[in-house]
Amino acid sequence: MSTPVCGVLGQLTPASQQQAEDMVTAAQQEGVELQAAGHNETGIFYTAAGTSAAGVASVLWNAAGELPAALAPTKNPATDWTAAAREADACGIHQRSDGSWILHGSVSGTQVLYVYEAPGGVVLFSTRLRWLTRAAEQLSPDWQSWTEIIAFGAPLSGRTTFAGIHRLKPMEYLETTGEGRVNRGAAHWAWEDYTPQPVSDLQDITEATIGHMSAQMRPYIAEAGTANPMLSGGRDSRMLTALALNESAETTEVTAWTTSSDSGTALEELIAAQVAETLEVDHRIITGRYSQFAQDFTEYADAVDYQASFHFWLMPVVRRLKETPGPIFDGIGGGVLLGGGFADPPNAHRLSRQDLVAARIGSRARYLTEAQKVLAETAAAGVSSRSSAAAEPVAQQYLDHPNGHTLTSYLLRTVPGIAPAPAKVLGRAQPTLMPMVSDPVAQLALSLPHEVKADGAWYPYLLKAADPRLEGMETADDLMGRRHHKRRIASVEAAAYLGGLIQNGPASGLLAPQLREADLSAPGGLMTWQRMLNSQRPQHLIRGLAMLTLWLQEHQGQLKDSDPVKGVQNA
Amino acid sequence: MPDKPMATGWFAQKALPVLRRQQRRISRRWRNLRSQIAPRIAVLGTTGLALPGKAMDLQSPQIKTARLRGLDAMVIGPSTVSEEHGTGAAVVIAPTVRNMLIRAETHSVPTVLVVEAAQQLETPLAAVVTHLVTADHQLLGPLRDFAGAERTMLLEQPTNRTAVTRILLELTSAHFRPGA
Repeated sequence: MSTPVCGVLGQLTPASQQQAEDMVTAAQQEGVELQAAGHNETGIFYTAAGTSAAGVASVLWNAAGELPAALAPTKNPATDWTAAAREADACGIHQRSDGSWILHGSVSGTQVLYVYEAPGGVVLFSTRLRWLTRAAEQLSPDWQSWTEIIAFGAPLSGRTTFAGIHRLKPMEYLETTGEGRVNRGAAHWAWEDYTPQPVSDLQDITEATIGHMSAQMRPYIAEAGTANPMLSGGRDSRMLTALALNESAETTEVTAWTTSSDSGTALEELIAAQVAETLEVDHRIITGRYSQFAQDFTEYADAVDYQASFHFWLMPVVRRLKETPGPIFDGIGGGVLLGGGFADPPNAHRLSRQDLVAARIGSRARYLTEAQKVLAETAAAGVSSRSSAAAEPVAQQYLDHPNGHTLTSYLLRTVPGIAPAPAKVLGRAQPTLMPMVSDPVAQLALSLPHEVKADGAWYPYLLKAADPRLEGMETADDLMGRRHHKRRIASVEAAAYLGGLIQNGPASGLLAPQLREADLSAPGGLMTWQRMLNSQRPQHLIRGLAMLTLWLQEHQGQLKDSDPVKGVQNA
Repeated sequence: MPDKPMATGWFAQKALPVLRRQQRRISRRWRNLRSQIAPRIAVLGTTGLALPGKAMDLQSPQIKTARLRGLDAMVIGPSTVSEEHGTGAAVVIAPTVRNMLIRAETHSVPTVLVVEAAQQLETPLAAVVTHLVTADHQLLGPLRDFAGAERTMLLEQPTNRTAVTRILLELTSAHFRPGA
């Protein structure tokens, strides 16, 4: 299960030690008991396990939990932390032999670790944003981040909704100097080095890819004697389900879990059931009750610390998974790395450089094409221009990279917006592994030419290698007709909740007049909200506003400036 | 987590959504008109309702090719809900029913489960159908909790074919029923 870790780096004072204790208390209030695991005059940190038996102040962790020594890729992560971060896709904190500290993120960036550069030169860090905010006296909103949550679904480039609090990006680190100063930096991101190479034998590469994923899953299945692959109607999840079965002994209980992503069709669940039957695996379909929509939405917001607005529909299955021991396997990154879905179109060479940047950003912020329906005119303009401007440095950085669109998409969407779901939401229920964003798999996938992966061309090979029974099986997308199911989020129950939440909250001034003035107690007014929620793009923008409202409710009284209308318009 | 690529060209972003909306509007109007004159309702299993359609024989070899396109609704009886998985560990949708539901989804045919007991709401079938109906007043509350007011209805006169047909058409023909 995702390991709770928090602490302080820098010249410790009574005040900063109090802040560390405040974080431990905040964790305790959520039922998480933390023990001191390492301490000197320039750093202190806490974990659930506390001091290790060997007395070494060092821990590596990811959403699958604290890495046991047997799985640690290096014997001395304090001196070789980049190898540990890359090979185990792990965050870590380590005390060096000279007493200094190194705190680092993971290679994929999907593991979540926040750092707060507090007044006084110390840096607080935590796997849970709320614990950091409990230790801070007063905080300033980062309104720029809210334009990004509304537009992209999450803050970009390591920003969070608080000024001064930062989420570590891939291979980012903090280290203390001898004088107790804390420096932030980033080691080289190896994924930039992985570029398409000619393929001599695709079958070899396919088998190696499958082998790497299996090797990651193996020890966790062996230890637990159970496995919980997430199974949708797509290819990535069925591949992982097949691999979980391959790695399981006869006595292992493997259960594939499916939920509704509220996309207006039940094909995901039905095709998942068909796959489960083919693979002869126990299967559960867990969907959300309409009367529990508000509970699911608020619990998801809390679980991701209000930093992403996508996967509220996961909560019902997460509750069940909490009661079902065993590692969870999630296929995050499959579409972007294995599926080749984020390569530029063939005519990209005809676009100007600026148009290509705009196209890559636009494909991740496509929701903004409907901004004028949801947002007030000035808010729509502000969100659109400021969020695009924030994404531009990322798109520019990889403009000439052979995997430019893939890396841009990965950093604009997968890391900030998608990763909190497996890392924070599923990871809270059970140890969660994300084999498709591990370094060896990313290396193999990013080294393949685009044409080998384009439009999912590599999947038949991968699926056949995972389990020949999956060959040729259709996906939910292959069969999609009209999305004729009522989306839960567009129901009268959800529309009344979300409409009331935003209309009666401080973000109501950001709403377009038709939504702001719609009378939710009248069928016509409610239907105005329902229509918007039934369409993917307006719905996304509304989810962002709802998240903003809940965040303001949570931190009211602690924020220096809590006027979102002024903030978002002038970010 | 699903993370799917999206087409970003002008046609995909602007024209296609408009064309799809128009297509939906036309097909809805056509369906409503045709349904009033000659409702087409398919039945899976024993429903206990008076329905215009004849129950499909799930054992028949023709079931795989039965025409579903253009159906107003597929009504599913409680007897077809589920079957025990081979291991006995989980209740799953019977494969024949599941395959019919996949075809119904592909053709955007509404699927209506007849609920006779609250336990049915715990089965996977209840999680994948588009609508739920019951003839039991006491079950309406649990049904609404589970699937919302717009996806559920009470059948006041389950043995009256005209009344049942009217309710089914009313339930499945409108996407929004904010007064429900």
